[in-house]
Amino acid sequence: MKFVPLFLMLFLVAAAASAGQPRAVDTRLQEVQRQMVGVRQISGTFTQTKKLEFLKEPVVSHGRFFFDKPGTLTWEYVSPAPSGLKMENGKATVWNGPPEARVTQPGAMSRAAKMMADQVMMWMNFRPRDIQAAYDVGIAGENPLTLRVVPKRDGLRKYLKSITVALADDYRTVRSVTLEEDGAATTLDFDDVRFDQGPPRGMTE
Amino acid sequence: MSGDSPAERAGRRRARLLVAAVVTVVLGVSLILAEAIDLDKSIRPLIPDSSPELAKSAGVLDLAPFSKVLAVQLAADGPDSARLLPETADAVRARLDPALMDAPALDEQIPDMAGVMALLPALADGECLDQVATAMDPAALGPRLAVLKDDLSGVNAAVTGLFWRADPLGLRGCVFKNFPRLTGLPQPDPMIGYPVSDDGLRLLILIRPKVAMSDTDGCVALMANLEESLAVSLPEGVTAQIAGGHRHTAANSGVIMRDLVVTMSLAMILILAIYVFLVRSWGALWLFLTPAAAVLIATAIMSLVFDRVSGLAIGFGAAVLGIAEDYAVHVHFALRRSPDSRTAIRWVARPLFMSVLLCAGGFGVLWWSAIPAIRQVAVFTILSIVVGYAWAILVLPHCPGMDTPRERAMPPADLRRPRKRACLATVGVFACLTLVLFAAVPRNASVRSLGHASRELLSDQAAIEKAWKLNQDMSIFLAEGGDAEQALALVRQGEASLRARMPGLESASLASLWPDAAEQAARIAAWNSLMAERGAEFTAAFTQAALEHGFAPAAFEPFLQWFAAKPARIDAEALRSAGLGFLLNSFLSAKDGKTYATLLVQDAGANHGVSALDGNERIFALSARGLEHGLDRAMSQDRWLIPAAAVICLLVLLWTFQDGYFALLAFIPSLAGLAGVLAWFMASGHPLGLVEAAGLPLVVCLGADYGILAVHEFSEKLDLGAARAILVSGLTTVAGIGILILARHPVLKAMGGTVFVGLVAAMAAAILLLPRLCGEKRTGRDGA
Repeated sequence: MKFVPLFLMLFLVAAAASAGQPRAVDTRLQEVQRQMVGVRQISGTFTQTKKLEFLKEPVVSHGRFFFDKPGTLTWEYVSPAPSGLKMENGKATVWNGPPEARVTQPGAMSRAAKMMADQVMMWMNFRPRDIQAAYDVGIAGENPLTLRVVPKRDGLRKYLKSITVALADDYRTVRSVTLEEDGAATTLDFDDVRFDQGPPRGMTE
Repeated sequence: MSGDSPAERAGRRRARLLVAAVVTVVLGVSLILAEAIDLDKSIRPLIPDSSPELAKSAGVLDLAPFSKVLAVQLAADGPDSARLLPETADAVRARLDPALMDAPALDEQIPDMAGVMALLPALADGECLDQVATAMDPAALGPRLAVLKDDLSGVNAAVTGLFWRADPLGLRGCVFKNFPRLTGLPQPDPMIGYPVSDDGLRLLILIRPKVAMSDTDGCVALMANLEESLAVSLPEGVTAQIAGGHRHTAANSGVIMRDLVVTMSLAMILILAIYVFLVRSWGALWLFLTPAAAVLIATAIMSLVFDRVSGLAIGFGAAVLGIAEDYAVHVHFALRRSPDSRTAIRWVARPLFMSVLLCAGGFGVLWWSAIPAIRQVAVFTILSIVVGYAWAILVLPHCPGMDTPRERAMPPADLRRPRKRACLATVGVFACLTLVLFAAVPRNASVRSLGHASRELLSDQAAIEKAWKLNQDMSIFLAEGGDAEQALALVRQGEASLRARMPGLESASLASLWPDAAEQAARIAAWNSLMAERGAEFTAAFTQAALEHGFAPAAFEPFLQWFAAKPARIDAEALRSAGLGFLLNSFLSAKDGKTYATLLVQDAGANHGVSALDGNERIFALSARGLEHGLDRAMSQDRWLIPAAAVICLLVLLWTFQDGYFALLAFIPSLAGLAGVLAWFMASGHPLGLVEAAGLPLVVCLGADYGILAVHEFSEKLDLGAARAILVSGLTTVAGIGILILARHPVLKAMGGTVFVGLVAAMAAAILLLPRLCGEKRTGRDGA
């Protein structure tokens, strides 16, 4: 579920500031949609901190991502354990290991990755109607502006309880994205987010 | 009649009243019985029951995995598809009538990992036990837990998160490898809850009907509810297609009912029109009542004779209407030309009785057809003919206006003898032509030729099967047992038999996931032995390693609880607990106190699979190829009905005319009819299927019927208006049968088309050819 918040960030980048009412949420989502028009590519790096109920210490990992509209996504963990997925033409490929010793994962893993990537794509191809069909969207706080979305479908709720996104003060970047799962909370901190500048340096093609 | 004495008039009045009373009672009782008839509107009566295995297979058709689901494909070609499709699917599901169907919940389709692991000991073969033993090695635990920790934070987290607490050692493969691979049904997207195509533009709702595929009324109600749900729920831009046996049943039922109403009504109207134009008397009213009464009484008797009557047999009633009134027409014309009704009946009773015998003989051979519905057609038609004859002879002369001569008696017809050589040559030519054409006409044993399927239905089915790879080239076998264990034991035997004949053949059943009791016991014993030897040591080492890698003590509680538990045997409850209920329902069914286990076999393109399991009468093949193989055999069996009908006709003709040449002459329309219809098949490319083959004996006997009436005029010094009677009765018969061409059900249409073309050819031969084959005039049959 770590992929989902990335694209929450994308719509939040340009999110408007005001209101906490449902109607205000609609307005804000529409504003984001307007501001996303014309964006073809998004790239950046992230730090992921995963707190598991049954792990004494959180697991911290680092990685980078690149999205090329309409449907190409690369999401790559660099450390501590290199792994990643690439979604292209509706097919997902998952790998483990460093580039020189990459092992492609079997179909079951790819199917799971595809499902995750599909969720990401939904956010990336930002359409408020799609988002609001899949999630209940609400404003959880104002300073900083924080959105909380809850999956509507039972299937998705089995994996993900909610996503909380805190915006930076300038509303251009995301301060943090937290995914609440059953017995786990994953926080993603994004950095060096760029638009229409190709994949990040060093990203595996 | 005006010269009758008062006593004679009173006697006639009493007889008329008596007949009226009897007829009223008979018709009233018939109406009540006909109302109560149990109509079977499915295609089940069309499946041949000549071979026991085919009959049994037909009986359990609705237990096949694909018969137990209805597939509804939603498609949206646009950017909103990801949102619209699940929303629409939810809306459709919410409107389904739970008494008729449901859609399985996600929990039933996604395995529960703790439940899956509980199956492992009973499935642990030698290879798996080695894998478990290796994984239990204390030295391997540290690296394994390190990988697990990485997976929990990396790209594999989505999958790892589902099982890590129950299966930290990665042993689930020992269970998953036993899952049947050819489930034939697509798996749901765990996020969305429905199978979704790779491009995201199609979604499949798998619906579980709660009514059997053979329950026509249930299927009609189910389809009505489903179509209503779709009509209300489908937003703009989303289309729906439905595929499944229940849709076929509902479609067939609707078409049969429509055909019944349309063909019967049109036949009645057409027959009435013929009477109005050609009979032109009030007697036409009584003539018109004859076929109606015949069909009503025959239907009533059918309801007493058969538990369920095929709607197709009654649908053939339109044709029967045209045949049953023939006798009334002949009696009517005889009454108009004879001095009194007794004389008229004496003149026509014998030739008409011969005609009844002919028709009864021709239709009677259909009793030996392999198709139950055709046998019912035979009984229904014979009953109608006999009732029609009895009505014409016993009731019609007492009807007001029927017993008064209205026409001047025509001079006797010239009595003529057949020209022997010409007659023999004509019979020879038509017989050879028939044989050659019969050998050359293409055959069709397709199952689909027996059922109605609209273009839309077929297109929907093809689209869904292609998109989701459903039911593709797969043979289905059902093994019957007293319980699941027995049924699965038979499946194992069947699989072993198939594999012995065709090594490498891909098959799937629940047997791999549910081993027999002895095998489970042996595996559990081996598991217990391993655990007794190394279990305690492993548990301590694992707990220690988990702590060292930063996992909390409760992290692997599900795994350790399972590891310490006494292994349980696999049964239906264990599989359901593992979240495999949908799989279980797909491969195991119960009906009439028996349990049926399914075996799916990748069809290698031949009937090898079917024959490989022949001999085991408790395993039934449900493959399309197997069914077609059975139909082909049934068609071969029904082929002898044609010569049988011909022999019966010739015998009746010989008995009637007591003269070989007259008999041959009267048989010429039959041969012409056969040759005509076969030539039409050849010319139009229409294949000879089971139904068409069953229609040919009818052409033989009805053709001979024309022959007998036409030749009767040459052989007897009587003119009873036969020419006009032949024309009227022939037209009504052809009209009644021709109406069936308008039927939408392929069986009625095929039967109607076959008999119609055959009768037109037979009529043409009777009217145009027979007079030319009679050259010699004589003064009387006996030379007087």
